[in-house]
Amino acid sequence: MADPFMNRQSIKDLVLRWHEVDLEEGAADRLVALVNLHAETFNEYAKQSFFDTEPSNFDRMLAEESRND
Amino acid sequence: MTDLTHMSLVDAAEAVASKQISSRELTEACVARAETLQPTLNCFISLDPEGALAEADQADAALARGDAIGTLHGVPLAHKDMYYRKGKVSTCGSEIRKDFTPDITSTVITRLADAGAVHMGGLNMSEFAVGPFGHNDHWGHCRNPWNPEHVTGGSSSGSGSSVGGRLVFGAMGSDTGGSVRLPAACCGLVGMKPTQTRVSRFGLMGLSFSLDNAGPLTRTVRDNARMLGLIAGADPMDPTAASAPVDDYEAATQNPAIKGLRIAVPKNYYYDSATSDVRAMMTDSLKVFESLGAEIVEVAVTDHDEINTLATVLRGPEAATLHGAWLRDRPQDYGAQVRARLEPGLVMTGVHYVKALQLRAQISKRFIDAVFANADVLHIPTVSMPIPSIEETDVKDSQGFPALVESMTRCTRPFNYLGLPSLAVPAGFTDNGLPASFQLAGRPFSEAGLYRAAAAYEAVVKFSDHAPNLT
Repeated sequence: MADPFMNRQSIKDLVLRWHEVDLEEGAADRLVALVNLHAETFNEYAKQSFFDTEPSNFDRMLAEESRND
Repeated sequence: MTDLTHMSLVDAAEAVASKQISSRELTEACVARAETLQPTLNCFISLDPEGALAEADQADAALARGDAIGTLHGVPLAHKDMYYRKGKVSTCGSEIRKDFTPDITSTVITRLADAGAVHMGGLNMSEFAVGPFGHNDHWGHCRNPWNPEHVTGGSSSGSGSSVGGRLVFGAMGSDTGGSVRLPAACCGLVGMKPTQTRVSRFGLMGLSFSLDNAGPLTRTVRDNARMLGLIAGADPMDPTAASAPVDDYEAATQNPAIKGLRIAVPKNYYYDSATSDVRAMMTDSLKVFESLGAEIVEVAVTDHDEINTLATVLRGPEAATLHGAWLRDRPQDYGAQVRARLEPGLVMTGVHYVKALQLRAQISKRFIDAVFANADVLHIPTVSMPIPSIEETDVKDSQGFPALVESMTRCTRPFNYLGLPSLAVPAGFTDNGLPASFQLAGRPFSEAGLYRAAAAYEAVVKFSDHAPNLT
């Protein structure tokens, strides 16, 4: 059954409205699948607070985890 | 010396420095081979014999004067056609930028030139560095020197083909999901994706600035270490370039001892779709490491489906932002698959993008703890299947293309999100006669350790002695 919220036409309309890019139908279908995959991934983190994160966390982690050999 | 083009980069540099050969002789040999093999391999977008020979003459003149010289003095290199050189066209493998002339020179090119390298030209690449096989609908598909009917790997296709074909001694590629390591694997080469931000990206075409890396492809480990040592390090032109000290990578390749090295082999993910001949090559390479005194340790890696999705969420909006205006106004000027791979970024949300960024430290740390708590390096395939043909992978944007792309990149792209260094190393040949390859991955900034381990392996198997039969 087609997703009433996110489907080929809604994706096409969204991308046209946001970016003025006219997607082909096959591309819109792929994007529907992708959006749903991303929703599943991020739902795992829905309860996690990101309040104390910042972009430099990653660079700091790289430096901290480096170990001279 | 019978065939100058088959020397290693380090040997070529030493031959020029010691005046056994001139840079002109060396460059003429490379130019002749490039002109002969270009119709077969299609690895150059722009070959510049006159410019290269002029630089070679300057190198010889400097040597005759007794000038101080660098460690690449007079040695011909060529680079993926997205390393900007002021006043020279950089096509980025595209129709859209076929006449683009930058007004800057990339820091990497400047540093290699300062070391004395001779520039042979711009190399073929997947359009805008999108494409793991090396197809290019605008400039023609690049071809594998071991069998021109097969793919070179991408997106640094010309870098793999030209170095593997012995047309140049080394080449720069870029790696956002495997684009250095895949062509290295397909063409029987050493290819380094360094730690994220280890190398300046100033003057490099961007695809996804969170995941992009500059890295060298060479025929030997020591050659690779020399190139990385020249280009790594802080750069005032690129504030994102890491300021961590640069180790002496080349020294790590000299008389490498790896007794006691703990090599992690994953129980999950990396071998899930590996074919039997690839598995056999991986087992053989591990036996070599064991014979050198290394200890094999089994590990379970963390959830890679999640890592791959988060990488897509970073890459998507970054790439779609760079390409947004052209996707709107010139969609017909993209190859079908390239456009199809850029469009997803248009629908990803800002919150998901930022979460993918913010989760990176947490997820990378979790991976490091799982893999490197009891191991020094991780050993995995680079490509988990035999190198396919150009024809069977030229699927454009047909329904099955995402799965095909996934099958090629599943072992390389996690390291771009994780930010960790990963070195592709030749591992023999699969049943179809094409090269196989393993990766050695390590903790952040552990490139020297990866080079040491790879050099120890190379000293036993001497993979660079095997050259493709091209005439």
